[in-house]
Amino acid sequence: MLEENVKVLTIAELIHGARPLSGTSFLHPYLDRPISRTSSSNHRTPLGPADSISDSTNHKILTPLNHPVVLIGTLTLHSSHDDCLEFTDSSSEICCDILDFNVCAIGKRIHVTAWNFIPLKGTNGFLEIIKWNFPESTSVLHGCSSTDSFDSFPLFQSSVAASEIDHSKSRYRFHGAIESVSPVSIVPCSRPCSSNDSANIRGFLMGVLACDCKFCTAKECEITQECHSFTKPKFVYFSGAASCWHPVATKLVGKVITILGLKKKLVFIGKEESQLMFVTTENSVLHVPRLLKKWSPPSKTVIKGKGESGVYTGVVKGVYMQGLLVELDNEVWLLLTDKLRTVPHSLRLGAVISVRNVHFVNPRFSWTKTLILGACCKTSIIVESFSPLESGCYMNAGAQNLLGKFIESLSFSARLWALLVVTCFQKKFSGILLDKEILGSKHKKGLAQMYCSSHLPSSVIRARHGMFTELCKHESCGCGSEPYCGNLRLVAPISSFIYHCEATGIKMLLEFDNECHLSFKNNRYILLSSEGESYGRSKRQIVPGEDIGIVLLGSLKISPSSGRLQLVDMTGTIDVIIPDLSLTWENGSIFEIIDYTLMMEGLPEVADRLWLPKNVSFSCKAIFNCAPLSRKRNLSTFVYFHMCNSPNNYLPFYPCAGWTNDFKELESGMFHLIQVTHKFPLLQKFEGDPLVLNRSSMFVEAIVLPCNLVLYGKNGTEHPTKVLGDLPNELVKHCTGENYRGYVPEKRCKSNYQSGRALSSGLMDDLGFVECELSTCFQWESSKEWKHTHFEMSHEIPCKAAVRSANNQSLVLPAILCQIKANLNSNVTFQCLTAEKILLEFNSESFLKYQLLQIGGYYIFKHQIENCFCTTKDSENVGNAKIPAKIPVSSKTQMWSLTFSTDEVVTYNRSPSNGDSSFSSHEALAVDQVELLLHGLSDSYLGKSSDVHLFLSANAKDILKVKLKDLEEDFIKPSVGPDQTSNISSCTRTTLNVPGLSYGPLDSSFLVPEGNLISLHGDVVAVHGFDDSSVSEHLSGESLSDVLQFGFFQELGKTFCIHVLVDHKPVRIFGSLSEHVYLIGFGPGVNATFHRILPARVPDSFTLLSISFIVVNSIRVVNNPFIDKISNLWSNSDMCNKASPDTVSSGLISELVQCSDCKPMRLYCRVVSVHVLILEQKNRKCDSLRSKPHSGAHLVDIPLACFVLDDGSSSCYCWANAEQAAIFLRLHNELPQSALENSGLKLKWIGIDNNGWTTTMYHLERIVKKHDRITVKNYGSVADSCYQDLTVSVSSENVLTSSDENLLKFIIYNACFGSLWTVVASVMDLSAVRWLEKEHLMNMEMTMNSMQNICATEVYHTNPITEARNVIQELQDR
Amino acid sequence: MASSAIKSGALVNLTELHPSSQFYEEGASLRVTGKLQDYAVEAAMAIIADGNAILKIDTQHLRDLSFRVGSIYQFIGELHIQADCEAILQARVGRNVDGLDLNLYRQSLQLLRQFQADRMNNTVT
Repeated sequence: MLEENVKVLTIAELIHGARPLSGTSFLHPYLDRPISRTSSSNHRTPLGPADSISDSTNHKILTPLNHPVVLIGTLTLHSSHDDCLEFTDSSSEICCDILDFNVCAIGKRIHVTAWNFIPLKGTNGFLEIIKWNFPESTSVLHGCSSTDSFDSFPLFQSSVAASEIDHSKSRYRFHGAIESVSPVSIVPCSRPCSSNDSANIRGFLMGVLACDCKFCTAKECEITQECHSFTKPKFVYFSGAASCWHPVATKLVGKVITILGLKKKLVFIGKEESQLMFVTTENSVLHVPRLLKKWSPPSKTVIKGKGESGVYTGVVKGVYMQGLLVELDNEVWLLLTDKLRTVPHSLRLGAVISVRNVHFVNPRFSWTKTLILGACCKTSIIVESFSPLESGCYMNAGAQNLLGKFIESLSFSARLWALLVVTCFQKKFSGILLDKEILGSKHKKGLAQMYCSSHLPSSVIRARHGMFTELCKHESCGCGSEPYCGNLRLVAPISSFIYHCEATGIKMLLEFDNECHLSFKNNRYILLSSEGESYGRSKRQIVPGEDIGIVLLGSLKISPSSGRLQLVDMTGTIDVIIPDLSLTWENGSIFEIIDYTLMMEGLPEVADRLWLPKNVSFSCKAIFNCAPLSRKRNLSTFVYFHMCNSPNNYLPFYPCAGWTNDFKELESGMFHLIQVTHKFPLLQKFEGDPLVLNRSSMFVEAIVLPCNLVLYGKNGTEHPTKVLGDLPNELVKHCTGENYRGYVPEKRCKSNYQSGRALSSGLMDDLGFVECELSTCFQWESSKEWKHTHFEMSHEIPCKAAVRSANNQSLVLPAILCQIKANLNSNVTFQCLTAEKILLEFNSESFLKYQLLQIGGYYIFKHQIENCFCTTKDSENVGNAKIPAKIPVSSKTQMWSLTFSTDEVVTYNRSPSNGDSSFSSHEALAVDQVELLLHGLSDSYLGKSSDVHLFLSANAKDILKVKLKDLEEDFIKPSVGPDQTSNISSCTRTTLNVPGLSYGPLDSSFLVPEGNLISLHGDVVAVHGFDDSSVSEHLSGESLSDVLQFGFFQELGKTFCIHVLVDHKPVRIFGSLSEHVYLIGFGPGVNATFHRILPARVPDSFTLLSISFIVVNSIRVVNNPFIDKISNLWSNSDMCNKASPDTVSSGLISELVQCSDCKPMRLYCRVVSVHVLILEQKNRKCDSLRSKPHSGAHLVDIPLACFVLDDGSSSCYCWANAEQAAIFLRLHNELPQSALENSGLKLKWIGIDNNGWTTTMYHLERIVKKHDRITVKNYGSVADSCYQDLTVSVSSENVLTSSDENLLKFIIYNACFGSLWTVVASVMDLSAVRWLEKEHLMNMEMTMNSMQNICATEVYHTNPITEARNVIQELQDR
Repeated sequence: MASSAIKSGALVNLTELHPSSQFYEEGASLRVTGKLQDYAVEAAMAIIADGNAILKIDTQHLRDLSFRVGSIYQFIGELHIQADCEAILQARVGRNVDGLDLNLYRQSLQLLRQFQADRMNNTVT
């Protein structure tokens, strides 16, 4: 009976309250106790660690009632689409779910003592029954008919008198275990016998396993609780009203039941297949043993993630996409995409659910590690414990749209991918596009679906059948076998992408850091990590997009704050570098970037380490909760890609207007030709100052070339404009006259014009169209050949223009370069061109155009009457300076880049043959070095990046080239200060006289730098800031790249020193870099051009001025930390390593034990044995990094060498670099004849008098060349040369011949029985030794004795006479 | 004393620099302070403002000075009056003085002038 103080609540009261409630006080014996967070959660929720929920959400706990409340009502079945049980009392009814379910409760009055109530829109709400009992008066058995051990329930509750039913048909009985329960489906039915013909039958299938024993197969016999083995699959169809048992059946999966009164029916599935199954009848009765017998299916051996089915139990961590996607535990994704599937209301965030017959799929995506639980028609979900959180229920979605059908037809991995893509599209374009455009409707495909279907292979698409087929012929449906989808790349929102990249980047950089903890002090191998910690050396990391597996999608824009080009979606922005971005780029278009390179640079801090997630693989959850970045990491990320590398950069289905227009604009007309001579840097602004004008202009200095380009339209008619008056009449005649008829693409004319042949052969296949057009052009041109010979004297140069457009079309048009009339004085020809300087003024809208212009590049503007070019303004005088005419360039101003080339060299191929053309294949690059070329103007990209490519005959080009050069020289004059240029080769610097801006002295007494502005081009070696107080060369702390990226540069007046190698000669450039914020990636390792810098008074020093402009040409990343360090150290070695030998004191090895200050010491010793030795074939490419000639001459590299040295007092391990190891091994000495005889080598080369051939090195080179890498290990004695046990292993598949092996051993023995060495070495610290052991010796299974480890810096033969003299000298000095 | 010698820059508020002012004369050496309103990098021409008063500064002879719109700068140089009565200061020294309390600066300038005037009077009398 109910206790006194217990309140009884009616359902109506509950519903009326309409707020989430939890009535769980009964679970807690002490009611007075304040209800804490934990007390409110129900006792059966095994949620694991408390944070497991709180981390996923900040959902509130359900409001608990602080007094015991009981609900009294009846549990009933009701046929609704919600697939729920129902709880009713006199006041109302409510959907419910129940724990500790007992079939006996159906139709009974129960007391619900612990429950959760969740209001649901449109319905009464939802009740979760946690704890319930029968009123004491009612016996559990009461109402349960049948025998002792069974509870029996008629499946049809509408009590039809048993006598009225024809028992003859429904005489079958089934006893077995429930394996699976299908969702409720509707079968269209036209039963002629039925009264309501059109009635569709609701029903569900139950897959059961029956027993084959004679008791079970007997038609009618008593069911015994004997042992059965349930192996025979059978199906029971619960049709019509019996379908309301579905929620019960779901809860009984895995249990053994008996159903009486079934009939057998042959059901046709499809056209050919048929299946005999049991069908429920009006008098079917369900028998459930009181002690429910659990049956577990024979467990599959191993779940490999290829579609095997099984059971999974986990905590719901998130329900996404209206319940289509449920995250369990940690990144386990339950896909509930079947249209028939109803998500239980109780499947809420925080609930523990158990999913049966679910397919385990490991999608093997490259971008994430996750497990998919694919639900099919056999899958059933049971909530094991309700969620204590106030999380909402998911209502089942109504009608399915095209997208839903599409997703349903995919394999599980593809399904997850598609769902993620849909979500990403929603996140990315939520404000830009309508939801309907993204998702589509019932009849129209959405953007997301179009994208998915264009990227999915056909193998992932499955034919879907009806529920009957899928359940009965489950194996043939393909649920169990998962096609490989690992190559599907995710379209991530940019914010998630950045988050992921930062996590990966910080991890990589930190690992990189750990690797570098080796510090051999006072040695060439001084690693910069120590410096990295104290000085904050920024690190760079390059990751190819393929490795990330994520596709970027977004539109481009210029960041108003930094002025950098960015890829943008609604979630975030990322900086991008696109060397070949066209000037005709359209603002609104959406780009798909597949082939890109991610570059990360920065300085991870300890804080970042803490933030770092344990698992850095991409989390799908991040897409759903793509929160804005919380904090700026000390890491800058940018993406580098070429437009030309991804042919379908534009979403094929997304309208990108504007391109066609551009194309038309270019088709014909007259264009002004300019060359950019300088770009003035962006003016800085004090942020947040309201007084600062928003308007600001950027200026680009250019010269207007005194010739115009005239393009003739495809139809051969130049669109008549007033300008045409400038053109010679005969030209127009030519274009429209008879000769022009040849200009028809399909009429491929054979021209004997020599350049025509070269062109046809040089063009690539996909440019066949161009080829065709070009060759037809030639005919037109050849008819004008008479002009070629004379054009030097004329005002025009005929040529051809190849026009590129974004949609992979190219058009070749006939064109003419003609002289501007303004300069066309009667006798002036091309021989004497004069140009005019202008300033292009860019406003913030057209800032991108400013960015895209390159110094030295040629550009064309369309001639328009209203265009400022055509109404040339004179230069104006401002102050003392003569300012060239300013020409505003708005975002609407159309300009195109132009390149010249001769007909002979056609480089106009926009699809590079090799995929990774973004990387330079420069010979000098080491294997693990990556270089990003940022400049479209670099030779390899010449032509690819330009919008218009002008083909001139070689002759014409030469002349034009000379003329243009002359022109340039009017503006860029050779250096006049001989003393300042003396040190640097003149080819790398161009010196400039800026009229009106002469940086000469104001007064001779001023000590300011003076001279002409020059341009320098070189590799940046180091960048560091100066302390304001002391302008010394000392590193002051911040490295520039950090400074640039993290805004420390805001401090004005902060001066930096940039060390640049110009033609192998170091120069220093001083100045404030604040103007150059937009420089992405600037720092050590870049190749940059410094335009308009001023020579300082100190030799080889220059000053950055406020007009100076820095162009980053390429960025190099050395992935191998060692090479980086070594290369750095070689340059430093002069400084730190030339401790004069005299200052090093002599000592004994035994003294080393006490000596811990790492001071170098001179030892006189001999090599006792070799501990370990690795010989490698030297990678020639690495050589460029090491400028020392000693090791460069030979092909043998010795990356690891450890000798045991002995000087009589003690012995020690001595680690040596390649150079010193070669000395120890006496590789440069002559190999004794005996060695060759002993090793059995044929002396083929006898008689050749070449010293090189007799050295040990020569033979070693030969062996190493054969085997790539040779490892020699000594497992024998380290103290006795004779008892070395040398093991030689090779990395190649070639067998090491015994003669080679003998020779190798001989070389080692020869070293051990050699002369005395003088070794300058220092003690290695423990961490370095440990690192060496860990890195190298562990996997070689080598151990080290507890000897002292030293690191050799210098090795040479001990010359007794010199030593004796030194000793005498020392004694005399005393 | 040779007339070619460079004179010290007289401390001036921009607001005082109107055509009727004693400082407004060709070749006057001045020291001016104001917030950078605009900077034409191609012409090396800066415009500084103090309240409503603005002045153009020709900065072509300055090195090592970064211009950031919104920052406060101080220039010393010679005033040149153009044909259109527009004054341009040809700066020979320039520095960033961000953080300077302009009000306090003006007050101290007044006090300085007062002090100098007093001292002049004292020496005269």
